[in-house]
Amino acid sequence: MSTAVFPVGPTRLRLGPITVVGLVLVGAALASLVLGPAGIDPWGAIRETLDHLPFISIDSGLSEQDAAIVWQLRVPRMTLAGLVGATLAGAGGAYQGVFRNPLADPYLLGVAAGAGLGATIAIVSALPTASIAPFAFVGGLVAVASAYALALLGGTRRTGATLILSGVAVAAFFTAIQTYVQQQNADTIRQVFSWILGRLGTAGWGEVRLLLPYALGTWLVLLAHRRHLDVMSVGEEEAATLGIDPARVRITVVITATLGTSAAVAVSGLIGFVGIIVPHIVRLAVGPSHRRLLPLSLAGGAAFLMLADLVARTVRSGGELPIGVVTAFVGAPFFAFILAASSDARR
Amino acid sequence: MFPVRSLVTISVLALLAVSCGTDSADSTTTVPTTPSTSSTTVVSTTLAPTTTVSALFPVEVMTDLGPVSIESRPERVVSLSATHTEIIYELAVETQLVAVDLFSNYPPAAADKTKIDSFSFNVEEVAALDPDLVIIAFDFQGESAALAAVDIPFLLLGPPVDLDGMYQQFRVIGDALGVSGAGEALATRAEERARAISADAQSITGQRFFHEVDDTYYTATSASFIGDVYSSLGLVNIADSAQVGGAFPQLSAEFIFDQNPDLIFLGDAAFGASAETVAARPGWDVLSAVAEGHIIEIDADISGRWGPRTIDLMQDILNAVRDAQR
Repeated sequence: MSTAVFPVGPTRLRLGPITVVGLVLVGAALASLVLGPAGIDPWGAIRETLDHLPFISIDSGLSEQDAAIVWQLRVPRMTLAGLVGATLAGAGGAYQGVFRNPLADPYLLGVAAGAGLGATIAIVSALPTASIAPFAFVGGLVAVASAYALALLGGTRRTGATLILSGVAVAAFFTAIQTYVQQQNADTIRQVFSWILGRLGTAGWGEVRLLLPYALGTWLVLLAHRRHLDVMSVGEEEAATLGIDPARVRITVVITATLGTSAAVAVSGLIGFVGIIVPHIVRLAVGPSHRRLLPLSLAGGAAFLMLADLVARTVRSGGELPIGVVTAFVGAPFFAFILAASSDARR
Repeated sequence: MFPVRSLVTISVLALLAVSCGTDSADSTTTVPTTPSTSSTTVVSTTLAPTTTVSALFPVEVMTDLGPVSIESRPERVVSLSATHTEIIYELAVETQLVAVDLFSNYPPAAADKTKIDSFSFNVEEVAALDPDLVIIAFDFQGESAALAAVDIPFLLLGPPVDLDGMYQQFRVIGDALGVSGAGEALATRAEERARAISADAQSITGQRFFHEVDDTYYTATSASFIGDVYSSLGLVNIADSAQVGGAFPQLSAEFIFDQNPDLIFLGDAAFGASAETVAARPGWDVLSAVAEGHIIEIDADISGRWGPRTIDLMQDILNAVRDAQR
């Protein structure tokens, strides 16, 4: 009898959506590689990138300066955008599944507020720039741990709703402290805001190396739990009768998604909307099954943030737009369009 | 709620670039700023006759909000801007000053004055000092409306866009505080010094530079006050050729690489930027300014203000560029 409430229809990944997302991802990567204010020869940029791959040696024909633009600026920035975008979108999709709440995003349990406080403390204490990321990372984890502790205290039944409310309270509290610390140190307010607005503009290979292990680990654990999330989507009690411990799945998924989000936020600052928009677009396209949702959200998130970053650094030639402005300004109308189009199609 | 709040703030961020840059108390710099000892004596000699002529109140002065009439010589002035504190001391009328902004760290004697935190402006705190004139440089928090509501006379004198605007503020402060002659003398002398330094700067004319406001490559174009200081030295700002809006845009690293400036000025030296940290950024070693060591740290306090020391800064920049290229 329980089979009737499982997502009906095919839940496996099909070739069509994979091909589409794959093509978008490759297209986004290529565009990020060849486009930029410096006007470097596109083939030169591609040859320069290939030259750095193992076992390949090609003369790109680029000047030393242009080669540095491609390999030290464009490629690490594109890679970091991909890692951050995939991690935020994957974490968002997982949060929405585990809390069965379409508004859940990776910052729901206070990661953003905690990371913001950590980064602010590092900045106002005049610690070296390299210490901002670890401080933000720890801040994010402390905030989510507090939310969890609060939820345990608050409710004998550890339901998703209790945890979300605890997250809201913790986020408000950490934001209050962050704002206070920031106002007490007005001389560093510019640095704090520049971190809060999200920064891929100074991304180098160092940031990529920092984030890579966390990103890969997060993706693997989330993908491993996609079936559990599908079962949980029918309801926690039903899932329990099917031999799944919802509390354990929830804590594993939440901790993993939080670790990944904290690591992403630590290197890139707060980039909003990716974790909400991308999983929803994927859901509208292929349905709610996490077996398709999570892998496609990872790839789609990577492509989305690469494209958003491309807009951020090229729309005003020579200048930068804050990445968070682009993800919201481009992402929100696009999301509305998809939403409208899909409801038309269903009618 | 985090991103939303920050999006609202972004519009004022560019302007904050000026005010925030000014606010570090202990900025380390390799540009030694000549204390204007000689100039202080000049002012005090010109001051003697002007104090007697100053009975010409009421006086009308031009502010950012239009003309303001001051009925009598103010004796309880509150300066909510570090810049105007410096100007008031330079005019040697600090006895009329009862309180200064928290960041008024120059001249050192300003430390003895009552401090007001203009970043968290509270009109009651200001009114409690019973001022007869308040000078403000920013109106972000509704300062002008609040002061008007409690009938405290004030002057809003925001950051000028060029040196001429600064000279004008010297005159306005002089007129407002009853030392018109000293204000005029300060303006004239600053203008003459600036002209002499510009004329002396032929050897560095046409060099292209990047002025770094912070380590995410916010910069200042020639539309900003500090930008005009560089322009007056004949230097060419790479930010002017970017298609960006505002006086304090954020440049992309790729644009800076592509422009390959001859000189890099670090307005963020007080926040840890140095020739070493710039050279350590991935890929930056290919820039000729980095390879040749043409990276010059700029005092964040002085470059973020528009006071008497601005002319010292001009001279210091000229000297530092010459030294770097020797």
